[in-house]
Amino acid sequence: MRLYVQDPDTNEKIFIDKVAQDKKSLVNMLGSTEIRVSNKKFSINDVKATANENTATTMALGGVVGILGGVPGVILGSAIGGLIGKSSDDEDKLKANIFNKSSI
Amino acid sequence: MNLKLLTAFIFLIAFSVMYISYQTEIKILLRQALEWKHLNMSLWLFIISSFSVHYLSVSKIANYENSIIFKHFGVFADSAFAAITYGLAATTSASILKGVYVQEWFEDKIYFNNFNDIDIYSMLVVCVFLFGYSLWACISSLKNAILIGTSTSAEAFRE
Repeated sequence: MRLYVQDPDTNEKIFIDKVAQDKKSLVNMLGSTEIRVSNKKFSINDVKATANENTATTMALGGVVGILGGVPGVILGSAIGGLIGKSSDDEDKLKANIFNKSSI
Repeated sequence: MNLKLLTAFIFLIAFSVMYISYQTEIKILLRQALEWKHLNMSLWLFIISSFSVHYLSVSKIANYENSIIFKHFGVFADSAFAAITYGLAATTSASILKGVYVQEWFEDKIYFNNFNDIDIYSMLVVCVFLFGYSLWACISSLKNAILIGTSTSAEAFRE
């Protein structure tokens, strides 16, 4: 999970170097309900969380390593890799949802 | 459909087609890779470098959430423990894979006497999983380090 704020001028996501379970923890960590990112002022409520996406990478890696078992190895490896990546992504999405639904 | 998943799917299809087309050459190449005398050293180097970079980036984050080892012994112990365990898992599984691969696909050397096919294939599945998982852990820690390194500093706003 990564935390970001949206630049009001460019609408681009600016990822920040902090990690917190919810907005209250972020306020406690920073000691303020307002933060400065790239010389711009943001409220903690502007901070959002986004989940990492690993399923495709783990699926591909599983398939590549599975080559040692031939084509069945590629299929099995990519299936196992995909399942591990999906499980990790689901957990990350849950954490991101908890952060996004939290309040100060 | 997710574009990344579609790309991974197409890549795997192409990868399998390539394997079927050049099966003999790829098997020889894989054997050479597994029998390479510097394989263990290279794996250790890759794993230690990954977790060192991870340690350097994570040590700046005060509340980086991680394992039980991190919570009790700190970031250095966590990274060192990860490097040692994944290093041992990757190198040991690579050695067993070498034996299983050469014995089953080339049949010119016997590494495991008195093991029947079911044991050999079980070892193959378990070691492929262990090897892949160790590599994934290193790639993931490197990716995390890069993401942390490229993020922007956020600090309390003071008038």
